[in-house]
Amino acid sequence: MSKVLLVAGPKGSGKSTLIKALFPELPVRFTEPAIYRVYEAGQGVKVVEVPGRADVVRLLLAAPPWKVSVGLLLADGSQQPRADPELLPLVLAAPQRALVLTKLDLASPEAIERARAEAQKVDLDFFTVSATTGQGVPELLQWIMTGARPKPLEAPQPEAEERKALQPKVEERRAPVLLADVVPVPSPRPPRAALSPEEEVVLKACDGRKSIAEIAMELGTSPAAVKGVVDKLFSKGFIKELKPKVVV
Amino acid sequence: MSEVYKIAFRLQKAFTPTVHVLVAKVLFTYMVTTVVRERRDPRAVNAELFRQGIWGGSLALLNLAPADTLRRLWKPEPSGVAKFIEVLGSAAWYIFAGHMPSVRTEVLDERGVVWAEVEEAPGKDAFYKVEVPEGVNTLYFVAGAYEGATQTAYRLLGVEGQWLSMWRPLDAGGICGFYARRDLNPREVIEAAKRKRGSFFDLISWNDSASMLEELLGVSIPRA
Repeated sequence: MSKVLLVAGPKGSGKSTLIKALFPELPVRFTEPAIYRVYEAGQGVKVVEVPGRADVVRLLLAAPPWKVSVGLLLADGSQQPRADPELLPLVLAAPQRALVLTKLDLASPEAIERARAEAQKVDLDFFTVSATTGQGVPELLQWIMTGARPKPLEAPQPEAEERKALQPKVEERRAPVLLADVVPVPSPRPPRAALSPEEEVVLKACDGRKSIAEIAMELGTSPAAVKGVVDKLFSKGFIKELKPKVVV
Repeated sequence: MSEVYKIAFRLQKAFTPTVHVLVAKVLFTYMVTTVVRERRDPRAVNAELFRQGIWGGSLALLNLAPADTLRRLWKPEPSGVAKFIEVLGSAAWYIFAGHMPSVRTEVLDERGVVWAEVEEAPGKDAFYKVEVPEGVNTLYFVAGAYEGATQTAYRLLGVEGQWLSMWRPLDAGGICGFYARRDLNPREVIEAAKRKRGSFFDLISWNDSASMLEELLGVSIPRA
């Protein structure tokens, strides 16, 4: 049976990262789609990534190229998460739909509760996920594929220890992201050279302890983006070495 | 390749820490085992090894190839590019595999497509020579490493927007690949590579390479 999964969200809300976490085999691109981007995920599943732009939404509402089966509206948990009103009509057109709070590992309890209340208000199911830790990804995938409803909202959350015990099972289902993460170590005597604003931001985050993936998480960007800047800092002499680090 | 460079590599290796190849093989085996357990299907395993190779190759280049040395070697005309591949390709193989490979280059298109084959020396041991399940090819890791290293070299040289490079395993033990100017039509470059090796893009397509380079290194390559 064919299924069209629509993943919509503002820039930086984690659309590509979530798609990669749900379907590790897909050759996901980590740039904002010009209009929208379609991936064939196998088993008849088509994944459509839609950016949070009014003109794109108007176009898709006026002449939808597919009948959407599952609609996900993403809200960035590290910011003030909200259901983007411009994207909402697209998601509401799907028979199975949810508000997904991304970057759960960076979200405050208040932000989660606010997003949950907003989901109830606009009649969306609610999920919280972290593509970085894998938390919530299997549950969301199961809901997408089977339609099995998430646990009731009032269901007690597992205790911290239970969650820890579940972690390896979640990790087993995830694709290896970077088997060898590295820590960019700043040079003790940085050269006198001009830095771009993004190089300054990344260099500031390089404390000799945080890895590229951890810096990316802190700055709310992708490891590839951080790696690109670190390469330039390295060639300019601001980074003296890259130390391998085990990041779990 | 010039004798001077061969001597330089040997000197570089003489002054760097040395470990027995067994240590590298044990660690590499652990990595491959992890990937095989996660992916199971040999094609998916090979693709993941390639992906991890891209990342590892990029890190290796940053740590081992000073930008000034790369700038001295880089000459953007096709014959200069061929020379660059011979030196960089041999150096990387010598440092990681521990022996000097045989490197052949050929200018496929004077506008800027240079083909290369890096073949291992017969009978020599290397970190990637481990027993694997049928269908798994650890040379995908090596090919990915060359691809990641080359793209990183372009970045250090400031020609990231002008050149691209892709690498795949050779059946006979080794890897092959090309350096190509980005302003050429990807279709033309793909055809040129396929004329040299028909199965070049069978497992990992041009667009797969582009996606992985974008995901891991933030390199944006035109899609075919």
